[in-house]
Amino acid sequence: MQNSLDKISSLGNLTDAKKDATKVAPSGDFSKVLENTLSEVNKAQQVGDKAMADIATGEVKDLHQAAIAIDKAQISMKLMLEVRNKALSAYKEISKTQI
Amino acid sequence: MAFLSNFDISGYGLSAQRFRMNVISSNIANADTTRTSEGGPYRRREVIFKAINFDKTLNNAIENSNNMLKYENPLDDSSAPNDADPSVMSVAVDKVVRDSSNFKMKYDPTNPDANKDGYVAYPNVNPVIEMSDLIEATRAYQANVAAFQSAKSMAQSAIDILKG
Repeated sequence: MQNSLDKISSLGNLTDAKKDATKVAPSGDFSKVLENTLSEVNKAQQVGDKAMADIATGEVKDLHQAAIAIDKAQISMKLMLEVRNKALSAYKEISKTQI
Repeated sequence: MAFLSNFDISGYGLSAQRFRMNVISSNIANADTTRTSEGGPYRRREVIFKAINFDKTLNNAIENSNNMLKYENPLDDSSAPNDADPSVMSVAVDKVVRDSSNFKMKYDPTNPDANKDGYVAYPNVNPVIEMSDLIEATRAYQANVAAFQSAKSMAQSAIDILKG
């Protein structure tokens, strides 16, 4: 019981930044991170598009690989949209600040 | 896209089962074939699967794509294990082997492939076994699809955390 309480109280240290994360983390600011993620999503979209074109032209090797590529594009797009909504609502919240 | 890795694991499984289904279909199609390019009647073929280290593949892909982070324990909990040991394995087709059991001999002296005693060697394919293997491959494929759908709905739930 006491042990689990210790575990819970250790959650207060979540603000400690990882020291070793800096050497692999995307350098720069939040916009850089967003840009990287966007390019990743865009890549998934292109792969999904190619999969759909392959299905249409009958060039697809495995039907399930095409389906998986399309699903990846869909899920990553949804995640990107939610992150965008979060960022926008945070921005709106900040811009409402009274000066 | 590291967070979609379970999609790829199921994808490997689906490809393997589909390949196995192709081999079983060729066994059924050639159940009466007495002539092959190798000489002699058709031999039954079987597929051997091999587990491949999926984590290595995934981390190579992550390093090559862009500077994405390797998966880490998000809560910074030192007591939690960092990497699963043994690591997550996926499946690939290792090889196709021939069944070396004896051919079925039928007495048919009018057949051009008959030997001097009038017997013809037919492939060592038992259609009943092939049909049950086919059902097995189909069910395994469906199981992989079910795992994929579960992974998809989990990803959807995780995205729903952001809503509201």
